[in-house]
Amino acid sequence: MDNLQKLIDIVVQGDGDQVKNLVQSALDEGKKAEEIMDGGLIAGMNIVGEKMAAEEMFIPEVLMSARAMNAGVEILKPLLKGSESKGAGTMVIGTVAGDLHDIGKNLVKILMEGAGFEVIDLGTDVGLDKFISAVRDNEAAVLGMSALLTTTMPKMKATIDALKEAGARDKVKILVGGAPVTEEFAKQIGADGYAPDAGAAVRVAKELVGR
Amino acid sequence: MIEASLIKLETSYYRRLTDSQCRTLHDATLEVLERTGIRILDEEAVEIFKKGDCEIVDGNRVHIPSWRVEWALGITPKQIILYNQTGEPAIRLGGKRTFFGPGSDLLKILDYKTDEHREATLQDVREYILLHDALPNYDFVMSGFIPKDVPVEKVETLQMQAMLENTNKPIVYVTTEMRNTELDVEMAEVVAGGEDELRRRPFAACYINITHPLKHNPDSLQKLMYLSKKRLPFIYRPSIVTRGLTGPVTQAGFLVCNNASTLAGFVLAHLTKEGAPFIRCCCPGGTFDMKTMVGTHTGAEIRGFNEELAQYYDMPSFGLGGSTASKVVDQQAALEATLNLLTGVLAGGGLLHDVGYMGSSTLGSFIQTVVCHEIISWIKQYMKGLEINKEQLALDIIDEVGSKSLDDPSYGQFIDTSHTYRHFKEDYYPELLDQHHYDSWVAAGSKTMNERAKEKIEKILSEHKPTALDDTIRKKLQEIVDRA
Repeated sequence: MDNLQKLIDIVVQGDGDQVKNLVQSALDEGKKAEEIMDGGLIAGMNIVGEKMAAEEMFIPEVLMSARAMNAGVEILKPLLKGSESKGAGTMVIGTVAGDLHDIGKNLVKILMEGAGFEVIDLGTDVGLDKFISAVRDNEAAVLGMSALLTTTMPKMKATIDALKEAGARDKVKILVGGAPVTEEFAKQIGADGYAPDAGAAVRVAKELVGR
Repeated sequence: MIEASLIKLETSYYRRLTDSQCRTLHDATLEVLERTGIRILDEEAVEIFKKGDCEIVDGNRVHIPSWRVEWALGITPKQIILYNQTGEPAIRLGGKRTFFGPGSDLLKILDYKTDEHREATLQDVREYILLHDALPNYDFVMSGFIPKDVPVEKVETLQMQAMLENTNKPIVYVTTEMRNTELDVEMAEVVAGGEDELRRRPFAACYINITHPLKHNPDSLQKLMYLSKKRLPFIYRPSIVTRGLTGPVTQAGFLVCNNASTLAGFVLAHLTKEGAPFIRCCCPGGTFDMKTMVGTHTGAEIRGFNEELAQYYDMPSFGLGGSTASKVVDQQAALEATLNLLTGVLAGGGLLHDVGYMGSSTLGSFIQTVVCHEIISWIKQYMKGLEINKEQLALDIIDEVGSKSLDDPSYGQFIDTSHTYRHFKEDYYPELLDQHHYDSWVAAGSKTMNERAKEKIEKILSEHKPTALDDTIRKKLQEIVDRA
């Protein structure tokens, strides 16, 4: 029996208990943790991502799948240490300084975790230094910045410039979003990507890190 | 015999909740306030709650006892009068009376001339306000758009300046930071003729938005306390409580969360200054589409519930109506706007704002504003009720016309009676709805609603002049804008 196809299906269905069982039996059968992670859990979430983009799945259903996936990840984590598969990568996310809005950012965080990223959420009203040190300390592959106020959007450019000055710009992909943010603005300030909503954010982030 | 000279049916409203449901929601709200509390992220505000016998846990989690809520309900104004900028009473806000106006801070404009979606300019803001000044169904104004051709830090004072210069109607203004509220109030005081004058005849209400219902942010709390002390009217929105995101997805749970957040601000206002002119925000903040991740504000689910709660509390309210998720002026735009305008009025919506809003509060269009104006005319006509008196019953005319000889060619004919002449204009003659015969419509150019709307807009913008402001006042306003 191909456990992994079943595992993929169960991730999509969002059944955490079954995911745990299948992960365990796959391990018992001798499958490697990395294979189960990539070929089962992440593969399942990729399908969830496609269904979400096609508006076939609703966010609460996506989140159930993410939770189910994480239940499986918990079992595999100790076995993955020091191996190739670290999931999709680390993302640092936050709402820029002076801005307290976080609904969109929180959605992005949840969906990114579901896609296999480890997300360091710095919260709201995040200053330049905090973004830079978080990116450096966590060796983040992606930095996501959010703003709802037009008055705080300039902080995004300031952060990108500060990263350049610190010599850290090239090591991270920068993704921006928020209601007043546009594709054009993202280009102007030198960001690597823009997304109009949380679902698109996951797709763009995956493209940026080459997954 | 005593004959009633006039029997006029009280306009009927439509209730979706019962009194006992309102009472249950109220009790549930009191439980949230006592049991869970609300985080208040401002030290001065926390102190005020503390002095008001509220328990403070973990530094800033405020638990409000029920008796404090009942106390505030007992002293809150049931009617708040908004004057126009020259001091005449314009909006008697309270009960089920409904008034209409646009919204503020839209990101884009759908250009009525080119049908292009683009960023808005300060000129668009001025024209939008001028349009609302000219259209009689709009009772108050808001800024409409975020102008993109001005320095970001001056947006809010420029919006206020535009509202003071392009209309005499009452204003609802929105600011992000505390400082701009102070500047906007300063500008309003200049036009009113002083601090006392503005307080006595307030023509501007501040619409305060907070970021999360269970966690009130410093700027919003500071604005609430500042305006309460000044006794200037304000609306305290308990966040864009979006069902399923920042509040429960279930309707009753959402109403309770929304209400608890509102009442927390409400109690603070009265503890800061007894009798503060608090306007209850009834914005549905409802439907969050779980597929598209957009909060539409247009759903049917909770329409009217918040307004009924406001009436249960006998508080003046601020609601939302005439909005659509559509990005173009099409059937979706017209039908959504109609549905939420009608249900808003039937619920007794108070200040109904965001009329003409599109794209789920991201887009504005002069055409949609003018279309909504027409919808409001229809609704107003509908809400009039039946007038019954001797003249309206027309028994003598019926008898006159019906008693004629069958040979008389005018037997049964009412069209040329003096009675018809006296009363035919009581009907509603729409401006933008075409009621011609097909051939006449073709002969006149086969115009669509959009085309008729454009003509109307062009006429207004070229001909309408707002009430002029004194030069001294203009200069003072400009000084404040320069300082921003």
